[in-house]
Amino acid sequence: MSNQQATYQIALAGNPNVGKSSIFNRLTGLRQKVGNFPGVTVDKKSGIIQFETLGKAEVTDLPGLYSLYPTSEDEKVVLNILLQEQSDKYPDAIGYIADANDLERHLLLCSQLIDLQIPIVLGLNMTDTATEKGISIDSKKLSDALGIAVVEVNGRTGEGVNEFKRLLEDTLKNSREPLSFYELSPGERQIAKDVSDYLRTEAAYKALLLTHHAADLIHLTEEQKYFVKTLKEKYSFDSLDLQLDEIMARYKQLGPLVKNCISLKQVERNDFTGQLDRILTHPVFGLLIFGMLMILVFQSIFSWSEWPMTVIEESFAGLSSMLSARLPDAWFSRLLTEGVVAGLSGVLVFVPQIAILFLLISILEESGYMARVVYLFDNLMRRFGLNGRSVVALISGGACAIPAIMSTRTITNWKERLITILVTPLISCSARIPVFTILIAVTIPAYKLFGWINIQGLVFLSLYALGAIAALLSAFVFSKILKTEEPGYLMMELPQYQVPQWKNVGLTVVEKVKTFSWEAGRIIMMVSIVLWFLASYGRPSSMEKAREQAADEYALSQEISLDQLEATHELEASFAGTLGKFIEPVIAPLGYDWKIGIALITSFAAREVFVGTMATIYAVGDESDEALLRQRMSEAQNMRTGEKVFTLPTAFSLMIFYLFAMQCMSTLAVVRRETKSWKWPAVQLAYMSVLAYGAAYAVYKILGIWF
Amino acid sequence: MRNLHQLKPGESAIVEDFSDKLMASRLMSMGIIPGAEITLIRHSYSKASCIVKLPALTLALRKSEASGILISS
Repeated sequence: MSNQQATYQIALAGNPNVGKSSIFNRLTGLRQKVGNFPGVTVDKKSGIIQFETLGKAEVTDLPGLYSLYPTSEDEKVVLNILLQEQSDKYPDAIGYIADANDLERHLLLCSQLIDLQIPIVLGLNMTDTATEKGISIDSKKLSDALGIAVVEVNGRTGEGVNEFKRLLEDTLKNSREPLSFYELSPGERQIAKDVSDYLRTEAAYKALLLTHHAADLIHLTEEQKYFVKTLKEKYSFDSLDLQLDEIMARYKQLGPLVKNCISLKQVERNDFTGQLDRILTHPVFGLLIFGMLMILVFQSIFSWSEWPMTVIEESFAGLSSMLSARLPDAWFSRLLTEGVVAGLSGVLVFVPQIAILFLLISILEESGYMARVVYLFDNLMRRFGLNGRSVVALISGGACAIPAIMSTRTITNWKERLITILVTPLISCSARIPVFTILIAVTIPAYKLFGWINIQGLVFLSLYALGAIAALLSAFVFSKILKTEEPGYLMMELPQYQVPQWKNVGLTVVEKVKTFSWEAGRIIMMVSIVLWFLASYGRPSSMEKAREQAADEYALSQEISLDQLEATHELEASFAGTLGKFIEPVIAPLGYDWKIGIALITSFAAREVFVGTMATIYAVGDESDEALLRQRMSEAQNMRTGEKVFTLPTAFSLMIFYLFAMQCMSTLAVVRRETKSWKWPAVQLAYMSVLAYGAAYAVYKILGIWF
Repeated sequence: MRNLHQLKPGESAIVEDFSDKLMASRLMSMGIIPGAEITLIRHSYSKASCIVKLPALTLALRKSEASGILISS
């Protein structure tokens, strides 16, 4: 799509929950892409539309906001777009979506946009529900009163969307007299004039906004920011007071204007949302229902993803063996099969779980339920220094920390957002499951407590709970350390319940899967290639000796094939093996030997690499033969002490380590991007390592008393 | 003056003023303006937050936010 040259830029704007995304999806269909707004880490969704005569235009879906005086990171992006006239992404026209049920409030932002003197078309969404409520709007009158084109649109059925597009084309063709809605006060006019002379902008209101927001705008130079700051001091410009006056003045104009354009009929209707909320936001039942829903969600993730995961793993195993059979036995073939293909498989195997989790989360979001969850948990979360909105990130963390961390952008308070980012990786993600599964299988008997509670399952569940508890407690500690003056808000709209729109849900899932595959995938790939090198190569003399050792062992007993014996000994002699031995003194107190040390090192690509590494170390040729691997692991002995390696204390210590340690380079990279500094990923790596080591040590020592 | 958080569930009042300007800017952008009629729907457990309703908007507010909205009946 990017090679298509769009002649025009169109921005789609509106309040949150107005159904803007549905209109956007209707307009652009599948021809959309997700990128980043320049300089900030907020997703930018854009797509190409084809006009009848004007050629192509790029439509950008701006984050929803209530006014041009925004508070969150997400919302501030809009200012950066709308106040940067020189940019080639500066909109030639704005499509504004308003909710017909609450016109006055929705026109507040619209009136501000009109004053920016960018051509604008107003789309009235949800007129069907407004009609049910007895509200009817005279679009013609409204259009005359505002001086802009108005059309009824329907995101659910797609009605009016083509007309909306045609009107956008119209406004681009026929340049009208610039409109203005709000009249600046004498004081505002004065400073706006100075700013517009200095920054060379036409519209007075745009100059006023530049004055208000100069410090937040990324395209202004330090010098320009300083100039505006001095001006503000000179005129003793009270930004907040002026904002309030302006908003109030706009409402005063809009009130009579709207009243003139709509007619109201008293209609008796039953309040479905209100009645559902009596149960769903109930302090007791609400939480119970949420609990049950979450059990259902995670049940579905595991049961639905099992089959596709097996298929993915088996096809890559097939591809790998096919490649190694066809290709000559050389380093580049091994790089391809053991590095690239293995890395790719390690990334894609998580796609089913991530897709299913985001499918369910976006259904909950689309239906309006998620906002209620945020309300229910706000108080509890706040006690731990988080925000109700953190719940969404923590739940998503159950699949993968990367999209979860990216979802924190809706949290307006920086401290609450940062803490959410810092603790989310403690929630057990999909990559820990294979590690837990094999360690539990090796050490915990498949015994049923009281005849029906599966102990293995209980241990598994406890690990999840422990992760969540650790996340909350760490959040609490961070909230005591980090200081902020910035106030945190809940102030959240609870939208009407509605049947999810499947197109929106589908597009969200596709987008999240893409994000994961790209953000996590490329780093996992790179690390997996580096690790392949570390695990395949070593000092030539040691590698030679390893092969001799393997041959000697094979001569004694043919129980294990020569290839596998060679692989095992070569791994020991490789750089990775050397590293494993090097760190053994550090990890010995946790009950690990150098073989586990190798696995800890390779797990830095992704945690689940643990299983593959164990398979190589214990000379199990086929990684998917887990039964054999389990048997080898439970029989494994420490070479020096002659004791079993995977005793109960060691296994638990290892599970706790994997639960708490930050073994995910991709997450660190995403945290660096979201926090715009290396400081926070470093803090995260440090605290999680200390926590993992400390907790694993404690567990090893305590369990060692009994077992 | 009374504030929104002091209302009983089901009770309505008229918004008069705000105690904090930064909050006011955001609340007013969302449609909570002086003169608007507002109803308290329910408090959460321990009254830490509440749900309020305007004619066409339902909103969740923290206690600190609701008590910053000054009302008259």
